[in-house]
Amino acid sequence: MVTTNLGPISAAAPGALYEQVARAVRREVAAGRLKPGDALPSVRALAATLLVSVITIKRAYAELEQDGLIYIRQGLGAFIAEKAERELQKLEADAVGEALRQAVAAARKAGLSRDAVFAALFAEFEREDAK
Amino acid sequence: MSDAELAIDVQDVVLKLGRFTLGPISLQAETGMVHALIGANGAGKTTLIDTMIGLAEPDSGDLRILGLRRGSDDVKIKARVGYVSPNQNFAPWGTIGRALDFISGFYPDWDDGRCQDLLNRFGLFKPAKISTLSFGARTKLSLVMALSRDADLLLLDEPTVGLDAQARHLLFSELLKIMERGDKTILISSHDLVDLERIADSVILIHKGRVKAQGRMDALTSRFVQIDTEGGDIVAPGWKRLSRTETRATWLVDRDMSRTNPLPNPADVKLISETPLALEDLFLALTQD
Repeated sequence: MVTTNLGPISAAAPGALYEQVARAVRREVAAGRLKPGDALPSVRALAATLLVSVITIKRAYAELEQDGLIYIRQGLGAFIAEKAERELQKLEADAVGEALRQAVAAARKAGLSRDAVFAALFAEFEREDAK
Repeated sequence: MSDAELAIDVQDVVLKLGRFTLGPISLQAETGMVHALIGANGAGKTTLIDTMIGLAEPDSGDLRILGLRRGSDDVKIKARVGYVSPNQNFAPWGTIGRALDFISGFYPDWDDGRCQDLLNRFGLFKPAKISTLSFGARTKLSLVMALSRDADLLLLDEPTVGLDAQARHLLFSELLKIMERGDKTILISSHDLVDLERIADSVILIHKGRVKAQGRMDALTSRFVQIDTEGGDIVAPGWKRLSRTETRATWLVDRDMSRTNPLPNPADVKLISETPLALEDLFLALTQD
């Protein structure tokens, strides 16, 4: 059993509790602390550790399975999928696409020109590179 | 669902108590889950729990607890059910130690080591006089008694009353540990809806002695949404108006009943916002008359 820390889960943190659990698993996979084949804690054990309901963990695992990050073997538990890292990269690319879509919609609403948005985007890259 | 999978099965129970009537009420609680029983003061939560453990007798209806029939199998039910309530009075036993000695004798599933561990962690001492304990400490004693056993069903009526944050945390962590094996069931009533939303798998909401809503926690909180609108009124199934000013209105929308998405008459009503509801918001909206 992997003893990776999947907490803490807080009502004050953004997202529903199950989303926070799913995000924690994605974070651990991205950081390489959870590797393909690693076993995740059982649903009920993780519920007791994180002090959340069993359905919260079940829903998080179901979402991770649907995204191809983990697989669930009845009676054995949940494991990190072989292609978890690749699936994670796809998900992250999707998330960037979604964030850009929202940024464009917000820019349109605020009356910002295409050039102004490009300039802001370039400036953001510059700031990141300077770090 | 077979009887074995139901820890609690209440069918058409009615109990008249003066001007208050519990029921007719029917509800089912699956084994292996934490069920939150919520309702305003006077909704009938305590009376309902009391009918399950034999502290109140229904005028009519059927109750099965762990597959056993309430009324004819009461001894067997009490042997397998743990019960906590603020109405329990252990003061006549004098000290905590004497009360525990007495209570433990009734239960073959009593675990002395676990009892001592719980006493330590809740900060209770056997020589302490019960009559001098604070309200919170009495709740803790009641919890120690219920959790020192290996009960298949825990009926917890307001088990967090008077508890500080540390004790509540300890309680929830103990409850979720009990749930780890998957064969135990907990029914917990409380007004701490934020806590219940976090640890409970299902919700039973009772209002004026009847079930107002029942279901899995996530299904229930995502079934309802609060919608704010500008403009005219909406008369459509699943839409309940919570408040209204001259230009705006706030609605509780039951997505299971409302077939319109999101507005039934977009021509004269404008959508302002759509807000998901936490259990507490949902509770307030559903019990508003």
